[in-house]
Order: sequence, then structure tokens, then C-alpha cells
Amino acid sequence: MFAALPTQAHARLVRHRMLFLKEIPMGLVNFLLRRLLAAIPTVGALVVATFVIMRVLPGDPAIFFASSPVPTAEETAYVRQKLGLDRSVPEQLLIYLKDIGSADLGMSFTTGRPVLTELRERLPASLELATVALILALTVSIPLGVAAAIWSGSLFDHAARIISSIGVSMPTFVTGLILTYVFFLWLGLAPEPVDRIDMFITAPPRITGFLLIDSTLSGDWAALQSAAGRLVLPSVTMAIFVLSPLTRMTRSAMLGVLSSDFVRTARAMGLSDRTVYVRYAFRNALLPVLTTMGIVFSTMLGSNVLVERVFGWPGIGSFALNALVASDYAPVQGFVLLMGLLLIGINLAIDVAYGLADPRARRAS
Amino acid sequence: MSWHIYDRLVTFALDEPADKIQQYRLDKPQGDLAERWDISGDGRIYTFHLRRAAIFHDGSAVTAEDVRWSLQRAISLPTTRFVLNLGGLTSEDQIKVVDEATLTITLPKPNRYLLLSLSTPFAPIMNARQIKPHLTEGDPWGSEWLKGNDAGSGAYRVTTFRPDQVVLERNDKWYGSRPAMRWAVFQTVPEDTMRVALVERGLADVAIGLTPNAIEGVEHRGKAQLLLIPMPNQFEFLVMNTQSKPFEDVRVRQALAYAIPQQEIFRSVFLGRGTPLFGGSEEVHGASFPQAQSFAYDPKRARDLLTDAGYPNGLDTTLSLCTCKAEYFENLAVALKDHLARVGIRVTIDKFPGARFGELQAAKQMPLYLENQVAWLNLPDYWIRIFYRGNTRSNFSGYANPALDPLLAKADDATSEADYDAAMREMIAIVNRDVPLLMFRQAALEVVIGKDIGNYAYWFHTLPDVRSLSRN
Repeated sequence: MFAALPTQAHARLVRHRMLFLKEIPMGLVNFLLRRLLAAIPTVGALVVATFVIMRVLPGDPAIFFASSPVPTAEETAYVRQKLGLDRSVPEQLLIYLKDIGSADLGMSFTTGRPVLTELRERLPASLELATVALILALTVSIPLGVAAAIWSGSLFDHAARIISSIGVSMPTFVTGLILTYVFFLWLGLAPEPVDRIDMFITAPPRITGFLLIDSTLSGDWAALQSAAGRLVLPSVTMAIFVLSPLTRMTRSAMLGVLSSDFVRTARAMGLSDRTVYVRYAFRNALLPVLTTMGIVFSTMLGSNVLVERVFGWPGIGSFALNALVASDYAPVQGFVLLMGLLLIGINLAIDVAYGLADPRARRAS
Repeated sequence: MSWHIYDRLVTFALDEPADKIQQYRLDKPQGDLAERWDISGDGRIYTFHLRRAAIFHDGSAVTAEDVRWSLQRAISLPTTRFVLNLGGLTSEDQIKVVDEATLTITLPKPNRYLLLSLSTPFAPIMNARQIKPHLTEGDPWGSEWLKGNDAGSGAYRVTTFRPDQVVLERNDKWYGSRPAMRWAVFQTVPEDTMRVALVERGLADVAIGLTPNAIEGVEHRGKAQLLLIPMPNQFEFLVMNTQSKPFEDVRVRQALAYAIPQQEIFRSVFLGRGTPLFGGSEEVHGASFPQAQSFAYDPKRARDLLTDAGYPNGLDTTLSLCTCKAEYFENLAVALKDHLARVGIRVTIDKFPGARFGELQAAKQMPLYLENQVAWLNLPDYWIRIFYRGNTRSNFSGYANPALDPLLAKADDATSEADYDAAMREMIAIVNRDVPLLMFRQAALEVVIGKDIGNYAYWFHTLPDVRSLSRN
């Protein structure tokens, strides 16, 4: 798009921008490829480690799953054979790796369904919860962190510190239980903490697996309302917990940027407060916050087991935990594999976003 | 689930509701898909006459061929085979289709377990014609297809099936008396206190799988009903490993039995709930099992027995329990540790998660542990057969007494009640005296139901039966 260009400086700027757009494809693809290649050994090591650990841990699944009233040795042997556990560990590992290649993650014996099916059904639940919680946390922590940095030493600053400390010092299940008690049992405002949607409302047809998106896309307002209602308490619980790193990182990044040379220059040149803060300081301060967001999101996905349990949320965390306690190998391995891939993917996305936002990072890689 | 969507050949009558609860009557078998049956004079041939009105959910009639196929399936699968073998049904040759609505089962000798085994969820009657197109070489009995499909004739059919939630709808063409509930939703809710809270708020009708903790305050708050259902086919006990020291010595086991003040434990740990299995007389009365054991609290006698057995300074041992049953057994373990210490038995408490506990249990590597069991086929001799002999996991204490097998054979062959009872009495006397398992009580099943719900039926599998529930 070519607009009238008032000055020479502007013309140079546009040329640079066009060069940048032409540059991105090759540079980005290279970057992605290199990173993905580096990820393969990591994921591989992850899978093998989980595999070996599960089999070394005490607890014999064949005995656990032999369910008749009088489990005889014959029946236990039969179950063991069905579970594939009668072969040597290296042999089992090879079979497993081959299966992964054909997208077969094995069967879960606690639920009787393929692990891939379970994870595919449950991942959107965990992702949706984590995403909404992250967005909630960001809407509070970024303004708060910025205000705390700009008016450092003021009420905002103290409020930010207090809120962060309280948020991170209470375990998520305590926060979750307190919120459930107050808003569901006592005030009756929240819906019952069971599942993602009211059991008497049909779920919208599955397009993304994210109930908020799917119900909006199919115009199902009752489902949207129910799903949103049930998201409130668990996402607030998780958001409270991650407020701390996000607020503090925003605040310290902003403080660092505000005392840097280019901000002093901008102010000396007479640019308005608003221009300084929003166009220059804030956008630079966002970079470390971006990295923190990546870490926080990854942590939320993996460690929201307790929240899922308190709120009866059908996500991957509670699924993996139940399987672990029952020595059900396949779901735990599948979970670790999935989490490994997700974390690598998230970090990759953050790095790309970082590269897009900060030309220096692009040149360095 | 299977209970609701499948029917079986026979079932049992339910008592009249007493205090909102109906108990099943083991002594009153009645026809389910079999309208009636005849037993030959020598007790070996059972002729089942099927109900002509019974149809499967897909509209086809229930025929004798479906029954034959279903029973053959039950005998062939390792997970269901045991119960039917117990009933005397080991081979498909024993089942003969006489005509569309009649079939016979021939036993090698009379077996009082046949009808019982046919009433369990191990022998559901399935729509063979519907399943046959889905059989494969690797899955000759259609187990894979059946995981996601309903081939039953029962009072309910499956509308939604997810791991967390199953929705059943009433089958209006069911042969039996129409259940009051049109829809039944089985929802998994991880926390037991939340399950109770949902019933109290009117968002659910029945909450099961409750611990004593979760039901506290329910009666006081009065928003829901607390049912404490006696469980005649269950018992809670301490297992003593008879295959290794120190509990291989009967004197040590008896010492332990005398060292425990059962009445006090029943009152303080179990809150007086359930049916006590202690305080019985030395002489065995009647043939029912479990029967109250007769070890009155006598710490001095306990010490004397320990000294006799060669432990004048007491002994050290471990008491284990499964974390899966921790809510029931934690307090009991602590109380036992305390009382046993007073006679010199120094106990360390060890907790294991389910799979690990199962492994140790099967390998008989725990000297002392707490367990509870429900027996689905609770004829008196069943308990002896399963828990006191044999090389299976259920023989928790590894007890092997050669006197039991001939007595069991006598009970099997007994032609009169009197003979059966006599054999039983002898067996009960032996196992109660030798005390490889020290019994505490029969639990009371804790169920919370809504104020307007009635007719809760207790079955041997201890799970709810929606078919009998009523709403006022």
C-alpha cells in the first residue's frame, strides 16, 4: 500500500519496512526449522525417560487391572499379556516408539479408551482454562505493573506488591476451595463446579474444542452462557496464582526501561508523557513479559491438576494423575509426550513473537 | 451400567422398603429374562423358559439362541469365566437350545451357585444377532464393539457415554414394571464432599462413594437424607500373613485378637455404625458367615500367648493399608497401633498406593494389613472357599488348612439344609478359632439421597439401582 510520503525520512522508513516484510519468510523458516530439529532429541529423551521410569516404579498394573472376584495367576498373566508387559523393557520401548510413529499412543486401562482419543478430548478443556486464566491475569497484572512502575512508591506500587504476594502464597486448591465455598455454597451465585457445561445443555458441535469459540460460532447462546459461567471460578483461581510473576515482571521491566537512555532522550526531546510511555517504554517493557507469559502458560498447563480436581474439570492434568496413581503407563507417557511438544511449541512461538517485536533478537539468531 | 442396560436370566426379589431402603433377598431368586425355570429331580438339569414379551433395544425378540451365545461368551472370557465355573458351567456343551424360548443347562452335579452366577453382571444377556456382524478374528466376542454400543434388553438404554458422564433413558418397552425415573445421569465428581453438597442443593439425587468425613453434618443440616445401609455381604478385617513369621503361629494371631478392645474401637473409630463382628460366643451358632468372632478383650491373655509363642518381650511388625482406602482405615490403623503397643506389639504404619498395594498383596509380602471385601455370591461356603484357601490373591492371609477342603466337599454334596449347616458350622469354628483374619464389622454403606427420593435398593454389587427409585 503506497501512501503519499510527506518527508524523506518517512520514505526511508517505508523502504525499510518493505525490506523487512520480504526478509521474514526465509529468515523465519530457517529459524523454525533449526529450532524444530533441535527439539527432536529433547522430546526423544523425554519419552524414553518417562517410559523407563514408569516401568521401574513399583506397582504392577497387571495385578491392579485384573478385576474378577478371584484374580488367579492365569488371569493376571492374561492381563499382563494384553498390556504388552510380558516382553522385555527395550522391546516394549521399540514397540512404543513404532506406535508413536503411527500416532498410536496405546490404550488407557483406567478408562478403556485409546490415549490419543482421551488427550484429544481433554486437551482443549485444559487449554481453554489456561488461556482464559492467562488473559484474566494479564488484564490485571499489566496495568497494575505499569502503574506500579510509573508511580513507583505510590499506592499502586504497594497494591501490586500485596496482591502478588497473596496470590502466589496460597496454593491453588485453597484458593479454589475458598472461592467455591463463598460463591457456590454460600452465595449460590456460581454454577456447580462439575464439568465445563451444564449437563442438561447439549454441547455445541466440536469445531475447535474450545467451548467459548464453538458456541459463539454456532450461535448457541445458552451453551455460551453456561460455559462462560463455569469458566469463571477455575480461571480466576488460576489467574490469582500467576498474577505474581506477571505483575512483578511487568513492573521491573517497565522500571528498567523508564530509566534507560532512549526514554531519557525522548523526554528531553519534549515528547509527551503518553507518547513516551505507550509508544516507547511499554512496547520495550513487554519483551520480558512475553517470555514470562510463555513460562507461566506452560506451567499452568502442567500443574493445574489440583484446580481440575477441585472444579471437576475434564482436563489432561487430572487424567494423567489418575492414570499415574493406577500405574496405567500409556496415559502418563502420552501426557508427558504431549506436554513436551506443547512446551516446545509455546517457547517456539514466544521466540518468534520476540523476534518479530525486537529486530535485535532476529539479527542475533 | 451393565445392570441397567442389560438383563440377566435370573435376579432376586427385593424386600419391602424399610426406612427407604430395600435389601435384595439371596434366598428368593426370581426370574428376570427367564420367566420361570424347572429343575430336574436329581438337581442337574435346569430348564429356563424365557419371557415371550422380552425384546432387545433394537426391537428384536430375546431368543434362546441369544442366551446361549451370551453364556458361551461369559464362559470364554477370562474375566467372567470364574463366576460361571463356580456355578458349574464350564463348557458350551452344557447349554442346549430347545426352542425359541426354552433352553437347558446340564450340570455334572447339583450346584447351588448356578442361579447366583447367572444373576451377576458377569452373565448379561446380549443381542447376539446385533453383535455378530462386528466380530473379528482378534475379538471373537465383540468386546471392542460392545465398549461403545448397547446390545441389551434392559430397563434403560444409553444416550450419552463419556468417561465422566453417562446418560441413560428409560426403555418403555422393558418387560418389567416401569421405573419411575425417565432419565438417569451418572456424573463423575472427584470430591466426595462436593457430591454431598450437590445433593443437598437439589442438583443431584444420589451421592455414593462417600467417606465418614463427607457425611458429617448431613443429618444435622436436614437438607438431604443419610442412608446407612447394612451390608450383609461385606466385612472389614485385619489380615495376618500365615505364611511367615510371626503370624504363622496361631498363638500370635490369637494374642493380637485378644489385645484389641473391639467394642471401644467400634464406638470410637466406626462411630457405632455397621454390624459388629465381635462379641460372639465360643460355640458357633448357625451357618451364616461372617459370624461374630469370640475374642473378648483380654490383654493379659494376649501377653501370655505371646510369651508361649516365644515373644516374651513382644515383637515389631508393620501394619499396611492402601491409600485408596485410607479414609476408612487410617483411624483404625492408629487405634490398633496404640492398643497393640500395650501388649508389646510395636507397629509401624505403612501406606501404599493402589497398584503397589496390589502387588504386595498378591505376593503376600505384608505381615499385617487392613482390608475390606464385598462378596457378590455370599452363600456361607463362598467365603470359606475364597478367603480361606487356595493360591489366589483373595486368600489374603495365605491360610492353608487341610481340614477345610473335605468339609467344603461335604457342603457341596449336602442334599439337606441340615447337612450343609453342619459342615458350615465346623468350618466356621475352625476359621474363627485360627483367626487368620480378625474381623471388625460389616460396614454400613453411606449413601446420601435427596429428601424426595425413596426406595433405594441395596444389591450385592453395592451400586445404585435406578430402576427401583421413586420420587415423591
